[in-house]
Amino acid sequence: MKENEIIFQAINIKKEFDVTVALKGADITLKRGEIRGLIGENGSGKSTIMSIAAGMQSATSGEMVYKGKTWNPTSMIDANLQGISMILQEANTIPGITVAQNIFAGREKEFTSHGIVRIKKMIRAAQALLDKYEIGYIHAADQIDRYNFEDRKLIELVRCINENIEILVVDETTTALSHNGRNVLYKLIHQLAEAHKTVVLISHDIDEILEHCTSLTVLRDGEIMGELTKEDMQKSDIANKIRYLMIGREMTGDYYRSDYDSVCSEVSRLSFQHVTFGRIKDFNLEVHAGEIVGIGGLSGCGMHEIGRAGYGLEKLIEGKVLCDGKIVKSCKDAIKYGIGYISKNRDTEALILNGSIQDNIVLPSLPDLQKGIYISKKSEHMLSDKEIERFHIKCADGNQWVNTLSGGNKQKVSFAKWTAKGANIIIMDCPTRGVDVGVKQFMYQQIMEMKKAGNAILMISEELTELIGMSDRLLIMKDFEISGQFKRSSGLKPADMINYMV
Amino acid sequence: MFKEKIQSILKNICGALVLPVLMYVVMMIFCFQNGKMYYGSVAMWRSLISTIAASATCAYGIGIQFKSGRLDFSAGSVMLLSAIIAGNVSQMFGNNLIIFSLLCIFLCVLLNIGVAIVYIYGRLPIIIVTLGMALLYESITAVVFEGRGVNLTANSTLKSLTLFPLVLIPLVMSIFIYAIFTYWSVTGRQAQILANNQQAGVNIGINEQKNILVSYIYSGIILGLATMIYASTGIISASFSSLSSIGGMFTNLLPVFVGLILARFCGDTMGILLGVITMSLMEFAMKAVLKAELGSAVTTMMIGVFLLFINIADAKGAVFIKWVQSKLGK
Amino acid sequence: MAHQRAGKKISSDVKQNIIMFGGLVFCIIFFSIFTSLHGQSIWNPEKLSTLISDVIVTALLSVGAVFVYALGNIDISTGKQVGLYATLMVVIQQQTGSLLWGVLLSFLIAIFIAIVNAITGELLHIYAIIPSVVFMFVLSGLSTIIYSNLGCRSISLYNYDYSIFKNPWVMVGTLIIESLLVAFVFNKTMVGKYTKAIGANAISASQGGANIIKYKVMAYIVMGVCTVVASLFQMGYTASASDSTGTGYELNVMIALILGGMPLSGGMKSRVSSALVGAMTFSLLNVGLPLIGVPVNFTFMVKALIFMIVVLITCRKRGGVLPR
Repeated sequence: MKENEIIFQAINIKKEFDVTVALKGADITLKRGEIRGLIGENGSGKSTIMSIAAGMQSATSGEMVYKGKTWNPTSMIDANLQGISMILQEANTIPGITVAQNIFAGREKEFTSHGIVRIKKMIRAAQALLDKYEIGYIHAADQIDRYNFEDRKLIELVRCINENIEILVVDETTTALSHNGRNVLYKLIHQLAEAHKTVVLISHDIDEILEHCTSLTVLRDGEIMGELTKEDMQKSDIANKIRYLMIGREMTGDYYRSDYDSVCSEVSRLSFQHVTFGRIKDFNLEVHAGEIVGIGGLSGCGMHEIGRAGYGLEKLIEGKVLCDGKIVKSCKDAIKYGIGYISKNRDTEALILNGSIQDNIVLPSLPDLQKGIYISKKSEHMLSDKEIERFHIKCADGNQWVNTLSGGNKQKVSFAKWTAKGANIIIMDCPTRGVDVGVKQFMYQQIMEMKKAGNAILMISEELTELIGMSDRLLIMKDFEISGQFKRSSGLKPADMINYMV
Repeated sequence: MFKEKIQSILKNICGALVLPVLMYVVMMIFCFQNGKMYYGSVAMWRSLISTIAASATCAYGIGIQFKSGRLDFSAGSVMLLSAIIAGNVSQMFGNNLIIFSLLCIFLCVLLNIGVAIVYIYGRLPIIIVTLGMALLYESITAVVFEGRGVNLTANSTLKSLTLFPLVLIPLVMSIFIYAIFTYWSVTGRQAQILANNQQAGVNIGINEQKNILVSYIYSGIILGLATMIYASTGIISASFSSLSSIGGMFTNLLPVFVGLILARFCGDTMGILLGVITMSLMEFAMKAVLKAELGSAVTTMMIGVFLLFINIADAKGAVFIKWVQSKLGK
Repeated sequence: MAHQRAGKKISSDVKQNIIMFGGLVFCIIFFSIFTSLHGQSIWNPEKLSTLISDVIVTALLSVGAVFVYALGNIDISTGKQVGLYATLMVVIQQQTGSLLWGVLLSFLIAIFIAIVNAITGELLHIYAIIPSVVFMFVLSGLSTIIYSNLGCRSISLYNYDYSIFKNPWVMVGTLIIESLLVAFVFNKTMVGKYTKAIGANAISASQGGANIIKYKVMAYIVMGVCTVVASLFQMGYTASASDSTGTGYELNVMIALILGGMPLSGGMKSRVSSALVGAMTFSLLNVGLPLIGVPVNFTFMVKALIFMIVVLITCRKRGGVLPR
């Protein structure tokens, strides 16, 4: 077991889902003791290739070699037991059962004697593991529902790591963790590397990768764009070079906004007054006409809930949400007063996937289109065609179903719903998630048009660069309250905000 | 510490017994007012035991699937078809009790596997699969044995399974098998995982298809035990045109609901049994006071309404309690 | 790439049409040939009138059921509802001499059932079918009580000229009017569009401004009204009702809709035409199977098999975890 010995190789991996191509033939070589960073935009394939290595899905074509032998895991458990483990980005713990059952999920057979599962034995083994990783404050016999999101991620971490581990893949996990949690994770990563194990850190946070990784691979659109060594990573302008590789071209024209003029109207369109619900207490905010207010923070800081409250989706215990002085009690009110909401859960909330583009676009506008009780097909057509035109939505026509569209085009439909309605206060949550770079630029331009037309925009996002690039006023939230406010200026950097977020 | 433990045990016992005890008292008053003084006597319990066994075994069978989030409409038709085939075949073989019992279990397991396979390979929503299979199995009852169903009420050997003490055998066995599935089997534990977070369970690598198949085998065995009792309780007629088996199956769904709600006090195994006892107490009282047919009808209606209320209470109970508290506070 | 995808969508539309009309055309051809070979042709006037009366009730029910199935819900209480309404109409006619009050009472009950079904179904989320099962119980119990009190198992209209209900023009005319009205509401008004949206994705529909409970109630009311109309014709054909009237009708509706290409999960692909075409196909099966020599006790099995096969072909989910 020497350092720098090649432990894993993926050769010409292709992955296709129906018509989407996630990976176009990617090669990766991993060595022992490496902390490899995998960076790329959404849709670049960085999660896909490692999930194939970790047994979660299989490649359409290509080969893998692990420890000198052909590698073809049948499931994540199979891969886990043989040394490759992956922590996924989504919450992957199972509610309603104990911590111990979560840690050993799928491995119940190991605690079986005479065909009977011995729960007590499982609990003892689980607690030993928790103590080993210095998170012994979590009790293995407790129901997992008693623990918050971060503790559950740590429990997931414990699940993934066992004595056999050789390669640990961490997929965008750090965004969910607080300062403490991240430290536990980074410490673990470095411990593993020192013990000649390999870690793959998947992220789109360039700073994090530069700090902790020993080498770096950049992906874009399903292909490997570049590999950087430790020396490369020390160079001075490396962050820009990485960004160039990620995005693929010099940003011509403005990606975000070019102006630093954050003047807007004095008229407050959307007002949060002493809003209290869930874990949010006494939240206050005014969004003015022609203003883009951004809210950022770690996921779980409460910003998504504020967006929902602004649209009338949350029952307030105290305080109120006002739109032009009128109280917003439900989303029906919100729509009536001209508020639009683009949910961050695009496929499950914002859009009806099993429906046509036209049906989606006209949905909020139906009350306006009806004459008496009759709604003519022609009026629906005209409305949706106008929006398809405006947003350059790539489709055969308005009857095409939304689930056949790419991520970027789907997001355009989400926006089109509200421009069709004529909403002039738009709450957008993660507006460019899962959208490729070209479409992103287009969307930012559209948002600027909206601002210039006098709309009030509340932009909630987990991408700091996007918020810095677009907002007139940027709020950072932490633990369900506003922890910092920034005005638009050219000198703002994500590093300035981190302290307010963690 | 010790005092806390005693307190929590007492709380659990009270919570679990509230419902059956309440039902007993209310029904006793109802019966005594109507001149039926034998409510509460040993004779009542003797005859009740058969009803309890019949319902409980069925409830356990349905409960295994229900816990995994599968509302299984086919259970009734599985029992119906097995009863008809097993009953007729056993009569042909000289009323052999052992053959009858084994046939019941074997047939139920086989039919259940059929449902599981259609679900796994058909990839249809479970309600549609089980409704369709219920139709299919019921339609087969109209065809086998010339559609004459089966009548074991006069058959003293085979009927002995519905009477005390033999009736305890299937009852105890079904409790045992249900407990094994829930607490001690790998399949049961993994089923719990799949029920609580299906995608995560599959991601981790739990074989969903195998898990479903094995759980249907478990519930098939229990339904077989239930059929052993059910087959001799009355005239079993074949079904010629409609979903007649669903009604019977649903009356046994109520204890499952009750059981899952009481699970926080005493575990779902005991909870289901308590639910069955509660329901049987009500049914006995209704039948005693009103005419048999009428009594059935009223019981059915009350079960239906009860089912609805329990569901709503469970779903919105916390919200309702908060609302009441806020009103009282003001 | 966009055109490839568009191609896929169009072909699924075509697939739905093929199933819908293919089934009907196949049955027409099949039964035309084989019934005449076996004995009486299915188009012989006597059989034709049986066919029409069989279609009418199923079609009237199914057209209304489209609304509820578009929500993605299934209603198991339809049969018992028909039984109850028919019984009430006869009983009240016997007392008052007119059908009017019975029909009005039935409408009231139907609206009540619709409201309870919709509201509790919404509260219960996952198992929206449970309220309809509960009604199946309750109505069945009610029916038993009524007939037990009457002391008989079947009752007839007293001194009433019911030939109007046997007139094929009246039957077909009512069906056409009902279908046009329902189709109009379904396709051209907010009620129908929101219903389809709720069936496709309820959260998205509610965020788009639909009041879920209000439109669910309306959808159930449409079905309830159609059920009452169907019960009127069911009772009118024989001028009687019994404790087994309507048995299994919910099943007939399910099979008719499925044969007509209606997706059982509802949503945007639901169509009123599925109900009409499916009801015709179903009745052809119902009336035609005995005519080609299929013994009575086999017809149920044939229907069940057809149901399973068509459902497997049309509703199978590809990829991902097993559906719930």
